[in-house]
Amino acid sequence: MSKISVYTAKRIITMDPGRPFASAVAVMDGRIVSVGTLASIAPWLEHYEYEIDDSFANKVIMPGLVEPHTHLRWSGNLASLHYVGPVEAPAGTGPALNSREEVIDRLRAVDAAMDDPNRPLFAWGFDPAVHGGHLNRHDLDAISTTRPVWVLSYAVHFLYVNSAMLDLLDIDPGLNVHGLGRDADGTLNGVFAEMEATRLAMDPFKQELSRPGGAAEGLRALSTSAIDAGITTTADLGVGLNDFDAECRDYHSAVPDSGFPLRMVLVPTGVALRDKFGSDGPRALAELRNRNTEKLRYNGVKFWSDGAYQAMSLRVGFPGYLDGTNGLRGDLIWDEMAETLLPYWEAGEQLHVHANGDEAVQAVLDALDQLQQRKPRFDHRFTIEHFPVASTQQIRRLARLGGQASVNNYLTHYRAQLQNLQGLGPDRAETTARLGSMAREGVTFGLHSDFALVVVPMRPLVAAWIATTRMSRDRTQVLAPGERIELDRALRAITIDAAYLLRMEDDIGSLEPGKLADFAILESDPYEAPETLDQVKVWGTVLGGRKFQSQRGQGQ
Amino acid sequence: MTLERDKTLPRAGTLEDLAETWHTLLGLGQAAQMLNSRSSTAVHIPITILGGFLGAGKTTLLNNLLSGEHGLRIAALVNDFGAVNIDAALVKHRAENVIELSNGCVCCSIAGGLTEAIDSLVHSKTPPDAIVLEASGVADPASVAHTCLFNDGLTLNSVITLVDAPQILAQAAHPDLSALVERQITAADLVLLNKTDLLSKDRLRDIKAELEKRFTSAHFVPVKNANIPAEFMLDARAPMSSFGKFQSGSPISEATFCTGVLHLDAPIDADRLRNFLAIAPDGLLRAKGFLPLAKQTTGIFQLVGQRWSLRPAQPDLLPAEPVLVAIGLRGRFDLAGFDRGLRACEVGSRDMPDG
Repeated sequence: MSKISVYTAKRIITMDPGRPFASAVAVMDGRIVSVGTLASIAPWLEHYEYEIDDSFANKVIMPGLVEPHTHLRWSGNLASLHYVGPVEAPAGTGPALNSREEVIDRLRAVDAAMDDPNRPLFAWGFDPAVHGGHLNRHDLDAISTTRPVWVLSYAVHFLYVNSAMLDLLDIDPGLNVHGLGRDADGTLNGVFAEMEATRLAMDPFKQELSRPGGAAEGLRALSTSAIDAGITTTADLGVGLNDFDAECRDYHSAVPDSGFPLRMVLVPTGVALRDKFGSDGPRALAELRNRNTEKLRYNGVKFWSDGAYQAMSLRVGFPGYLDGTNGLRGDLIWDEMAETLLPYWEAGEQLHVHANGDEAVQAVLDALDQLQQRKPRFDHRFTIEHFPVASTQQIRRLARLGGQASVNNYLTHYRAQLQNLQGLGPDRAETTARLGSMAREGVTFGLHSDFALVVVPMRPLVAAWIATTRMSRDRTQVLAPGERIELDRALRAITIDAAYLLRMEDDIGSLEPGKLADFAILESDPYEAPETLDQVKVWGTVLGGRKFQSQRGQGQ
Repeated sequence: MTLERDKTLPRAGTLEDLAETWHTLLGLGQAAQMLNSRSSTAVHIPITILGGFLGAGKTTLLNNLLSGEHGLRIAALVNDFGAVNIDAALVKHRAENVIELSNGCVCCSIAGGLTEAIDSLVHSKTPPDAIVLEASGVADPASVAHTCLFNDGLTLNSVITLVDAPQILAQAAHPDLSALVERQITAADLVLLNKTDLLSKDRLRDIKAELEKRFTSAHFVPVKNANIPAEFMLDARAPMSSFGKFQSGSPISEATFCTGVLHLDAPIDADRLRNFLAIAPDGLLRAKGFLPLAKQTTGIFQLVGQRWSLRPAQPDLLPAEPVLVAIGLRGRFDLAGFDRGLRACEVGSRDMPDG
């Protein structure tokens, strides 16, 4: 007979509004049996063998956090690139290194940890202003004289390589190019400055980026960032952006492994399905679901209607950007949007449509309206992805049409002030991510980072803090205070509501009997000090009853 | 002869800078995977990256180029057709992502992806003479250039950044904009100080001096209406006849620029050349052509702003008459002095090149 494990905690946040708090949770075969107190769950313990696990007795247990929009595999390509920068890596993938010695030590450690002695070592983030001047081949020969070493500066202006890498590059001695560094005797010194010279040293990196198996390795490496953040489920919103078959293969190779700490939802792109299956896309998508397991699921399809917030290529309505220009359209042809989406809509699929700017949002809402007229649907979970710039009227209309939103609200804190000056103007910048309006209109929403395509950390607790405070980057201003939301709603948006966006709410997102035993283990209670929610430390996660401890020191 | 000789260390990197680089790397990752499966190509199309903050005049420059009577087939890659104002009479064919002009130029949208757009030009049956890519107003042109150059069918012609001369000092001093403006300026071979007609002579001189003090290795060129000769967009492999030939009376050219053709016959010593060009000759903006080297070989020479290269030339590429063409600022560029400097780089010359 199966055995029950009971986890006790200082506090358990269940996200079940009927019984919001508890202190013990009983788990059997990877699923939750009962939530309450040691006393209240006692009847279960009379019927089953059990053990009490009090290793979290001084910690707080939450449902495993749900990150509903990431691109782990795409970013995985870069996981073989070791970070040596002077501030914490922008996507949270490495700590700050503050001196030349720390950089050299780190490179030595990476070199020592690599198995294959011929495989090149790639690193980025070196800052000559902080790390004591430029590197050259002699400095890097001290890391290794046999392994090719390649280090990119924090801006893509300088590249440094060792002698072994110079040999590999085999540069024509008759070539004279600006930025090709030389020793006094005229031989190359391993420094490449500016584009034309750095291009000469790009080939090994290019090969590394398309190395078979590299992305799957990267996936495993990046999944540790999820443990650090308390995340147990995430969705890849764009499978097939590069190569549909290769991406699926990598996920199927990495995710089922019991050591892989995440459940994944895979959302193929409409373009990839069209290219691969033609008009048979909806049937192919339904067949993909036959491969679904508890850890890896296909659900829905993704389209793009405009550009990006950070790159200022989103499409906005009147009066456009400060300089009168406008952004880009995505793969969906606006005039044909409803027609393109219709086959999937009629097949009962969930549609995710990327829309960053209000002009794009308007086109997407029009399309949803037309779809509803062609075939009315309830519980369709049509999701607008990102949704940073939208009017209150559009939010009301989204609610009436039955749509929901997966919102990148990190942008409020990390980018809005900058984006105001860079073209969006004050009104749209300040109201970036109108969560308050969505809450008032009854739109279900979740919070996401778009990791690592948008350069914000993947930290749902930080997203929740931003949602409740709307604090500007320079911490001088509350941006559009009426768009703040309550802590409870913010926590829903990174747990049960985010699960709902992915049609996963029956299995994850709250701690209730029958659900998977996925937990985020926190060192402190978000309800005790909501104003410092962004600093709550994460011990790690539990996935289906298995513990994954964060390796970031005491957790972060 | 070390790198640092005329370069100070860059300012310390901020989170913003690292974020930009992370973005570039992601783009490179995608480009690498996308291009990995493509066939290679024998073409070498020169690409010019056009950077600059919002409102600096990039679209005006593109409009000038696309509608100019230069006889070149230029492909402009832009974010949004909406802003490009092409004379309807010039439009030959208009499709979703491409506008073909009757003068042989095309304007392509990069909405479907930059890597894709470039690759389709590289593999087209009639590749353009030159590509000009308009980077977004908030982009680092260096990052864009790196992504483009992952395609082997391109050669980097130049990175040109436009700045709004009346606004630039305020932008460069603004805490939230300065890093971006600095990235755009330091990435450029040439920085076009645009809208100088809105400034008095004294004010322009002060602004230019201030910029030159802050950006010691940048090359500033004052212009009006974002005018620049189309010939800038070509590299040495383009037909000589098309280079340095200015439209007579063209308001773009003669008032601002001057050009000259040099014939060098004795072999050039690369070490001497490096020394000579370590500091770019005053007022020289662009030079391209062929230089005789030792052992009866010839090199292809390219210069834009402070960046230059000398590559061994394939014998079949050599023109009948190997010459070097230079474009400089009228009144600033000393063609005879440049000629003397180059001749002092000849093997065995006793003159010292005076950089």
